[in-house]
Amino acid sequence: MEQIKPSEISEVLLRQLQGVDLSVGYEEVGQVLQVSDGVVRLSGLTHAEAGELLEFDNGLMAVVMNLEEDNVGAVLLGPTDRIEEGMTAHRTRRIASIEVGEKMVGRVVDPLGHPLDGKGVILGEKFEMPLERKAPGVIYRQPVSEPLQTGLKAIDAMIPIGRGQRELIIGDRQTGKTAIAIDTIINQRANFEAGRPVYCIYVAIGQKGSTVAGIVETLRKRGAMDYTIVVSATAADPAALQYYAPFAGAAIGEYFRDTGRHALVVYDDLSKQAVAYREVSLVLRRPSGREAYPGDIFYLHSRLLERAAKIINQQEVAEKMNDLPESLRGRVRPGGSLTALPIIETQAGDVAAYIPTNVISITDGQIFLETDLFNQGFRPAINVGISVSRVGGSAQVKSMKKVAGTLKIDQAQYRELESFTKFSSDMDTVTSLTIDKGRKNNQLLIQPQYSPMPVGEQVAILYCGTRGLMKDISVSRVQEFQTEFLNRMRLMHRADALEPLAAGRIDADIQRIIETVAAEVIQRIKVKEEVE
Amino acid sequence: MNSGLVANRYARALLVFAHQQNALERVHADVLRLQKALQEELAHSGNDGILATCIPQLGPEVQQFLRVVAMNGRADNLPAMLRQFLIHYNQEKGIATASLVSAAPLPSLEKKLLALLHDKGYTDVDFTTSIDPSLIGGFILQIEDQRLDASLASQLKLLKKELEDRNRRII
Repeated sequence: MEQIKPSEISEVLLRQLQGVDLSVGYEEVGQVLQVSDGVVRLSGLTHAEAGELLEFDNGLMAVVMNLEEDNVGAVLLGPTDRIEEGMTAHRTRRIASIEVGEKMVGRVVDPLGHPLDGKGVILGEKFEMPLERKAPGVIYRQPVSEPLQTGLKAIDAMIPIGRGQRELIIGDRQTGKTAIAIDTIINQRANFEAGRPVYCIYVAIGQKGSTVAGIVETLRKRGAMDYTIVVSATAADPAALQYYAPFAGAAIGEYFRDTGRHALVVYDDLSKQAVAYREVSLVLRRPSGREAYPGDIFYLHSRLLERAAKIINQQEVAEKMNDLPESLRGRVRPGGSLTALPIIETQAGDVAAYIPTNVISITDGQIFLETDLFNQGFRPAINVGISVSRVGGSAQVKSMKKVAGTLKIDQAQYRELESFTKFSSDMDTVTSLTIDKGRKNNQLLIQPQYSPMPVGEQVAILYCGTRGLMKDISVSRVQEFQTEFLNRMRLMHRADALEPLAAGRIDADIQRIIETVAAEVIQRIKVKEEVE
Repeated sequence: MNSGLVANRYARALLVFAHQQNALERVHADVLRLQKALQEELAHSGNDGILATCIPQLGPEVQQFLRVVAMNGRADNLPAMLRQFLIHYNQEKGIATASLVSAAPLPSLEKKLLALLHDKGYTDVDFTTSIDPSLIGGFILQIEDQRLDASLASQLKLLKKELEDRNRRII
């Protein structure tokens, strides 16, 4: 290694010193009157603005939340024990924001953008994105039109999600809510490899540090960190940081959205954010309402989720977008999108609690997960009956729509019939056929974790299910049929069946190919059954 | 949430009451004494019972005020009320509070600053000075909630922060 000359360092330092602005000027200050859990009250700061960052003399930051007649209430973005009564804080004239850049991809950061993964400073050009920003107005949006493939058959077939949609994932603890979100992120690998990346942002709110580390490791192992950013505010972080974490995720997503790219943000989970906000509000002595949540808890979630949007595909309109941050001026590109997958944890399946009903009403649909289904082995444990996607249908791949269009209603019919058959054992042929098809389709929708399926294969296998091609094999052989069938399709009919299906085309030739392959596989399975 | 509102109402009432009783200056002095006693009592400075000895020495107006505060169960807001009263009093009298912290005594600077403040329209300035050797050099001037930090210590701190930010890659 070459020796560093002392003069070199001095020169560098001199150059840097010349660039430092040491001019003094008046700054507006306030004195700490009171410190309570994560919240300070300050006197002075007569002109402070709501949402403005304050800096204490020891470098700690706070955000102004309450502007009162004789004092200012601010939430601390660091440990409370570093603040004492009488300390001075000054205005920074900046609102709370996060610096976002291309080099942030693959990193784990806190809600203020500081790296947490020990890989050093995030380099490259950075753009300051405000944490609180108004959602784009109606003129700058367009309806959801492109699909966001989750790689999960049950979702892509029956509850399709479009780019720019807000789809809630709701369920009790341990029902696989995070698993659906992680699988969706992993499934975006294909887009990344094709050069059309969907940037993913996973926001962990109030989770255990070890859980977050586990998720990051899973994403890294599956190659998903190449296009993913993790924002983490663990249970040990101050309530203010947990409250700001989803806003940081949205701000990062907006950077990609407004520069014409596609992004997916997962808020895991918003119930914990609501709890953190309740804590901050109560310490600030704001009046509380139902379940002790403050009155603006609905607005908290609605303004956050409204920021997920599909941006209009016209450059001249998109570049005039409302509330565009200064840093993005001249860089706006049309056609970007931000899809949000908020997660809500229910207690004992109670969707009528305050926060779940709020978020259900805000989002464009929900994926409802149930403990009973999970324990019966139906994973993902989606209750298809009450799960909906209100706007995703228009974004679904055409071939999938054609093949699985009736799957949801068929399965509902099957469930109804099945509950009736519990009373009697005799049934007519049509009923028993419907029940048999329903059971097999249920089996078909089971999918192991971390194994998202490309859309072409999904359509092919669901074609077998909805057309009753598996009527000659038993329910226990469905999984075997699926593996064998897909292996054959991948080996022999990638170009003439799977690829057109993925592109949305389905015609008589492709249907014939699927039917022939399915018949061959069923023949093999039947022979095997006889031998056994 | 309403603590500021409550304190403000009591403070304004006390000010009007003081005017009516023609005892504004006495009330002002009493409020200052009470505020100091409260601070010392709360800080457990070893001067126990200072509040108990202070209250009987106060004038009848402030004693009456304390009775009303206690009766309405607003004793919690007392420090804020006293603070608000002083703000209102200063506003009424056109007094500005200013403080100067310097590393060494600077009598000539004090005089200059006072003259400067006078020129700026602050007719009556409640000026306090103190010495803090940890500033190394320079001074910190604060007028109301505006601060001019021209101390060497904070300039060095700023320099350190800037250099660290620029070179974080190496550190």
